[in-house]
Amino acid sequence: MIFLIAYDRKTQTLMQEVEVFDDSRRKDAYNRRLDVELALPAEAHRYEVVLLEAESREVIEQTHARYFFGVAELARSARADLNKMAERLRKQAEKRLTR
Amino acid sequence: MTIVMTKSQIDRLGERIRSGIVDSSTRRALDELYAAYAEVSEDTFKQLCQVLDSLGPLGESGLEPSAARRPTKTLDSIAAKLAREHARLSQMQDIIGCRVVVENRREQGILSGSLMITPQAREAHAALSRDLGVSEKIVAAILKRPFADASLDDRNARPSNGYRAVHIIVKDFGAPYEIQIRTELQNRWAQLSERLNDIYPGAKYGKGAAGVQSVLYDLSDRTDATERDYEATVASFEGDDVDYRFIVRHRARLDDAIEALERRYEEIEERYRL
Repeated sequence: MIFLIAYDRKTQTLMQEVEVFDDSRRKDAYNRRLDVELALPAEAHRYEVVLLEAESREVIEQTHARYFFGVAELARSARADLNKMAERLRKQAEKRLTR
Repeated sequence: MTIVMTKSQIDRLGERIRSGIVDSSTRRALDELYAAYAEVSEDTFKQLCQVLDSLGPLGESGLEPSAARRPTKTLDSIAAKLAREHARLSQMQDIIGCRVVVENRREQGILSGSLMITPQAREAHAALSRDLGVSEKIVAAILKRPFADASLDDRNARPSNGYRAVHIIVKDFGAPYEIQIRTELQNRWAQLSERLNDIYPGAKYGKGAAGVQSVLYDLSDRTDATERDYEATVASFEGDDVDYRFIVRHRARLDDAIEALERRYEEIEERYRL
């Protein structure tokens, strides 16, 4: 699946709903990206119009999380990852102790 | 592969971007470049996905790495990079690329070693070729990797402005293609850095708000130390001579480091909560 994202750096918001194209409409996705970009006011360093291809939206919400989540949410996700790391460590230690 | 733009055409486009001409004709020309690179981008990503499929879940979580292809690079990013690195557009190695997020450093090593012959593997090949009495070429042919014309950019060893990851630059299909392999924590840090850069422009490159930079550097260094310590600690548990006290002591020490890093992120969460 191909996702078209239009992001405003100044306001840190998505400017429109994420548009989704299936893989057979790759050319349409490229054309649409250019159309969206050209329709924006020419303001340097402000807008990002990008295409991302991945199996699902969940994947790009992880790999390119900054388009979707604010600083607090990103920090919370990092804490969740650290909790998972601590949990994996606990399991490894237990596994070794019961060997 | 059909490259429809010559190197000099690409570089002329780069000069327009560098001199700040970002009108619709520049944007259309850049779009033609993306179209010229589309086949390379698709072929390389396909090869990468085949490797990911064959490896399956790498870690204990049972989750497969997340991979997303980026067939275009924003004009702003290109302009900033051209200005920063004084490079030519035709030499830029990351106009097209993708990002893979894996669980930890161990998986990062497995994946990069499955995609190309890394410098470490090259040393092993040389040793194997000596032991077997065959040429290194034969050893390389036996231990084939999908990307033969690839170079490793180890940002774990050489971080830039706190950014750490492993990058592989693939040139097998013509235009350079950048594969970013990040651990979950490295990616969280990079996303946070990008988002803070939107709020405080320049923060990502060590400019702008000094307080933000020091927070990012601190997080990056702590993440690096914690990840390396995690790998070393888990590996040490496999030793034959480890006893109960060793495991408990090492686990407690690493738990403290993880908790300290978590507290740093908690402070950020509190500060930026709406």
